[in-house]
Amino acid sequence: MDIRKIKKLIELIQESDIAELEIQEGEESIRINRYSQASPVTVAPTVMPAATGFDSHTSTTTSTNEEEPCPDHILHSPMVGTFYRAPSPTSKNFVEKGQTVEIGDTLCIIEAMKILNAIESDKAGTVVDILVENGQPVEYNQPLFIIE
Amino acid sequence: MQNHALIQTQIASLLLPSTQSLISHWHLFDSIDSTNQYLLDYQPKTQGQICFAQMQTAGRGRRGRRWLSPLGQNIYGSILWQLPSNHWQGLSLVIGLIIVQTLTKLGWQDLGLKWPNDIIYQGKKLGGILIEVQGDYVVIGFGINIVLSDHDLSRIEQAAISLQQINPEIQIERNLLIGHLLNAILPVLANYQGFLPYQKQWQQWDAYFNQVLVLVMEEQQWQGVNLGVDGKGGLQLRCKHDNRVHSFYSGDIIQTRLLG
Repeated sequence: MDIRKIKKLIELIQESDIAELEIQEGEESIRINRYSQASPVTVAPTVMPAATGFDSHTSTTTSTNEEEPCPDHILHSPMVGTFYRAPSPTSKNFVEKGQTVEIGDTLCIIEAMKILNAIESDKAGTVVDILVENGQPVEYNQPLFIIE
Repeated sequence: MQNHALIQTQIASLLLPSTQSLISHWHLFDSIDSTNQYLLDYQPKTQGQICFAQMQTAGRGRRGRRWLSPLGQNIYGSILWQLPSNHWQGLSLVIGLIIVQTLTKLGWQDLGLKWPNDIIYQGKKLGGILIEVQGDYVVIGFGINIVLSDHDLSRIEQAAISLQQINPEIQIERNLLIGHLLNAILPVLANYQGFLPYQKQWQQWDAYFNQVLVLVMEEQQWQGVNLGVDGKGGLQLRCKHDNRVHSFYSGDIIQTRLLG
């Protein structure tokens, strides 16, 4: 399913009171649960001192209170390769610290063996930290961005 | 070799029915910015889209490097395919392998591969591949020099060569060559399960096997002996600094005797 379509669905749900939506289209199906306990939020206090002391259990209790603070979301590298913040050495970075991003926005490129993989944000929010320098090698699952 | 336009019926005349069935859309252009960019932007994304152009105004290589794409007889093409995330590991090496094998079957001799995926002849670059991934879609771009003028060659930053220079005797029309390449590449994409089944074959075409190389990655360099590729397509070097074998997944290689 097209990421833009998924993004649109998420936006629609955010604008409504719907808690869960399931759609089936041919072989494809998608379920979006607004207040899921199993959201892929990763808190890694040992890696990120900023997240220490945060009790992740309290944050995942089902709640409609949007004022409640969200845990920082860490985007990890899906592969081994070289981390690039811009499409080419002369172009602008995809994102800067402090910038807001939407789901599906490209945050960086990781290159391995001339395969350039555009890494898209899996969360909407503000980029609070970029953990790797441009041009540095990254390992599988290495934290790359913190999104709040 | 004559300068024919890209003609879909001519390309298709050579395609096997099994190849035909893997193609969903044709996009042929006289001129375009970049065939890769066209397919990356194209909506809706359906697997099996094929884009070729007579010239590219912004043909590109890795990291902002340009791929000189003058109007004429060279091949500039891209294929859009759907592969689950991270299932495309080593695909760039495999596409290089398929292209070098296809050209060899058609009569060009002494071609080789330079890790990860340059097609070379006597150390000069004949073709290159650039794969770009967006979500579940990969766009496989490739360029092959068929005819390059002295003027074109002088504008390319590295040593380059064309099929015509390698062997002017072989007469092959570009549309037919594209057909041969698609017949070879598309079934591989349709069945791609990773690099491992291609590791040994790739090894046989490695132009720099067992040679001393320098791998350059941004500001860092490693010198070592090329022990071949690992099961994921990584370059294995026995490094000079610690006499141990390391696998590399990024960077460019330089042959030491070319370092001067």
